[in-house]
Formats: sequence, structure tokens, C-alpha cells
Amino acid sequence: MTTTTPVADRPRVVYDSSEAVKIKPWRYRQLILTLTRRELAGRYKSAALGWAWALLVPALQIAVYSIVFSLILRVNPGTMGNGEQGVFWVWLVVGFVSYNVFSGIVSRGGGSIVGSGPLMQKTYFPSYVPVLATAAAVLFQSSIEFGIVMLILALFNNVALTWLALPVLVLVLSVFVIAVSYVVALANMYLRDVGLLLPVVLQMMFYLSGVIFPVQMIPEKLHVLKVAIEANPMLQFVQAFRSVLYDLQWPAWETMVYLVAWTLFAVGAMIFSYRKWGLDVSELT
Amino acid sequence: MSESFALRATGVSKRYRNRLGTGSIKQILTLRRPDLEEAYWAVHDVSFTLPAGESLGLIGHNGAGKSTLLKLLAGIHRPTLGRIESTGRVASLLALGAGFQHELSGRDNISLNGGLLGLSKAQIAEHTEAIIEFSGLGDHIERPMRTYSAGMRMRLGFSVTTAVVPEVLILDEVIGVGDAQFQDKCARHLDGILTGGTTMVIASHSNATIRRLCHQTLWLDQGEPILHGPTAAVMDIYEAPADEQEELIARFRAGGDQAAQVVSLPESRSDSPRARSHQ
Repeated sequence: MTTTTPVADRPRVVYDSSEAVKIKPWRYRQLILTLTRRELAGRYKSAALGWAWALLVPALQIAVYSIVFSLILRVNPGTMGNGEQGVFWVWLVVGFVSYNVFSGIVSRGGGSIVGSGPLMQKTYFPSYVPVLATAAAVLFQSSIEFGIVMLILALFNNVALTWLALPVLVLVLSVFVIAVSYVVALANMYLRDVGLLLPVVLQMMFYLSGVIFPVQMIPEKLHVLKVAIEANPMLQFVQAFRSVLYDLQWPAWETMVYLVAWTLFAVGAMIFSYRKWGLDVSELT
Repeated sequence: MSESFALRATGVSKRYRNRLGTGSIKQILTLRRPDLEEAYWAVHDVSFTLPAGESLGLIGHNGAGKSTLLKLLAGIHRPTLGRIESTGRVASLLALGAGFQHELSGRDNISLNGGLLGLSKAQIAEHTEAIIEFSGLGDHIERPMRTYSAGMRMRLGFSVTTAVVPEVLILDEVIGVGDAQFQDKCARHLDGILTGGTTMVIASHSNATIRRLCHQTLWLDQGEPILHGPTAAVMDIYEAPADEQEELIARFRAGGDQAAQVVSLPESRSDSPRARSHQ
């Protein structure tokens, strides 16, 4: 049967089982923005202190870690890029905020597909939409945190041109983390055990990413452990952020190649898993 | 053959199978795929063409595949086989109250829900006051949604969903929302939408509703299309005593190829007695 309707009235194919599925996140930008707004608006709405919590929580965590690891365990940070003696809590804040991009997006994004189950029953959107919306909300908060970090460093008079690398690092990290988060969120959809295991894994990653101690502190005897930890892309990300913001040195190009390679691998895994397992998730709820 | 339509389905089928998520831990560990025999066709080989401004009724017993077909048409689930085409925005009343966030005010939820339904910011801004007016929520609209009763939420949901009339509207027995007074308002509003030339697909267990609202009717049984044609003809057989149905179906099918074809009602809806009887 041939249809000879004028071009303007030509029907849009809603779905055709013989065509391959295309990935078009841009088409869903409005929906992603709506979900991001919902996440941001609803998050602290019923708390008396409201949005203050977004900064209060990390500030309190940093205070706790600073007391334990600086005052009690005597971890020594390196000297600042401007030659001044290192300050542990400042050194910690830089790594902490960088690592938070990862833990925030993976922990909140990891449950985002499951969490949008009721919505998926009512209206169609691809399964990466809730992950992207959650990531956007976390990145919004992270950009405020990075702003505060830069303010603190400026107060310590520790500023240099290497800061220009920050947007590039944030971009690569975001893509890497969103891809990881999508794969985790999808796995969680099929096997809820993933979501239960996630907090433990994230805690482990926190320690394996050198947020709280410099890798140099690992004794030479534990050479294998040290190599394993250094292979962790998140450790390399955290170190790159510290290098740029705190040490005021450009990251080594080998590091950047390593990070971009991991990012490409993660994006590949995301696209593969979307095509293979991510198309009919609304039927799983 | 040239024809224009608002919604067209060609050989649409959906097969569900026992999924990994519902399988045993042993199945998961051994990665044993559930046998194909466990799979079943929830909808099998459904085709129809719906011209703009007409409405299609879906009938059949529970589990006949009506809701599955609606989900496929709304794009919520993907057909296993087949092709669905549309000339405009397909919106479903299945999405009633989708994404309501209980900590936010009713007004904020209008823009959230509207965004989820595919409305632009400008469209939402333009219709917000009319939506509040229609929902009859008054001052409650500024209060957090957690203070709303279930009925109030439904009323707001219905108001948002039907504020901007889509090209194709999909309904699954949601004609009654809220108290009797609001239900009546909904019914009148839907009639308005209907006579305004909106294409609709409605699944219902109410034969009267189908007869009143639909031009064509598709009868599904265990996912298979049994009969498809003008509502009056299909409904007469559907409502006939069970022992006569088989013969009537056979005679209907033998009545020529137009049985499988779309046959529109001759009269236009706005002046049909069915539509007027409700106003």
C-alpha cells in the first residue's frame, strides 16, 4: 500500500519493529530538564533548613574526616602549589568535591531507573533519561561546590593558570560517571541486589580513590596493592583535580590519555547495555 | 491507494516472556534463558487505520490485550513486531498525574506534569489558569500536594492531561474521576474533545460508553483480533448470547472484505444522537 499524503501530513513512525533503535538524548532535553527541576525542587523542600543541607552535609563530613585523619592519624598533605605548607582540610576538600561527582551520580543515578518505574508505566522515555536528569541535578550541586573550593583556594592565595584545565576535567569525569551510573542503574533494574550492594562498593571506592590519604603513604611492601589502587580511574581523576587546583600543575598527558580511554570504554559499555537490555525496562516494573 | 489517517497500526504484536527479574536465582546464575514456550502473545497481529477525528473502541474480557495494545499505541511498550504510525502528538490518559511530586504545590505540579506530557513551557504558562479553573481546586492549588485527597489529585491530573488537546488521545476506563459532579464535568469535557475532532482510542468494559463514543470497535480475545468494524455491528454481536456469537461472527466475516476494513459511521459525531444525548 502506498501512501500519497502531502509532505506536511506525512505520518511520523511511532514505532517500527524492523528498524534499529536510535539514541537521541537531545530530543528529550525538555523532559530531562523537567525531571532535573523536580529532583532539585523536591529534594530539600520539606527540611526546615532547606537548601542549606546541600552544603551542610559535605561540610560536616569534611570536619569529621579532618579531625580523624589530620589531628588523630596525622596524615600529611603535600605542600600547596604556591609553596606554602599544606593544609589537610583544604587538600581534602579538593579531592572530596571531585569524588562527590562520582559518588553522587552513581549512588543517586544508580537508583534512578528503578525510581522512575511508576512514571515509565505512564509515559514513554528512554531509560537513560532519568540517569541524565539525576546527573544534571548532581552536577548543578557540584558546580556550586567547585565554586566554593575555588573561593577557599583563592583565600589561601593558591591560584594559577592550571585552573583552566578544570572544565575539561569536569567534562571528562561527568561523561565517565554518567556512563558508569547508567550501567549500574540498568543492572539494578534487573537485579535489585545491585542497589543494596552499591553503598558498600561506593564506600570502598572512597578509600581506594585516595580522597583521604596520599597514595605515597602506601608502604612499598604492599607494591601490588599500590599498583591496583593506582589503576583505579577514580584515583587518577581525584589526583588530576588535585594536581590542577591544589598543586597547580598540569596533569601528565599519560594520565589524560588513561582517563579518556576509561571514559570511552564506559560510554561503549553504556551504549551496548542500552541496546541489549535497556529498551524494554518499563516492562520490568 | 491514497488515504489519510491520524493513527495506523500494521501487524502490531507483542510477546511477553518470563523475564530475568522474575526468574529464580538459579536461572540467573546459570544464565539459562526462559524457554520460548513460556512466552505468550499479549497482542497478536492487530492492524487498523484510524482517520483523523474518529474514535476506536477496544472491547474484550480481562486479559484480552486491551491495555497492552493501549500501551503499545502510547509508545510505553515496544511492539515485538509491526509498525505504528501517527500524524500528531499521541497523549494518553494513562499518564494521569504522572510525575506528581507530593512536596510541591499543585501549581508547580501542573508545570511538572505538563512537561512530562510533552507540553512546551509556553503552552503550560498559557493554560495554567484554565487548568486550575477546571480542576476546581481554588486556593488549594498553592498548597503542597501531600495535603490533597486522592480525588483532588485525580482532578488536577485530568485537568492537565486534557487541557491541551492532543492529536490522538488514549484512554483506559478513566472516564470517571473524582466525585459525581466532577465525573459529569469530565464526561462533558471528553464529549467536547470528541466532537472537536480529536482522534481517540478507548478501552472500556462499559458497552454503553463504547456505543456512545466510538465509530469503530475492535474486539480482542486473548490477544487476537476477533472482529473489527462499525461499532453498532460489532457490539450487537459482542452482546449477543454466547451460543449465537460464533455463527454471527462467521456471517460478519463472510459479509465481505469490508469486515476487515475500516468502515466509518455515516453521520458526523456532532449531530449524532449518541453525542447529543449526553449534553
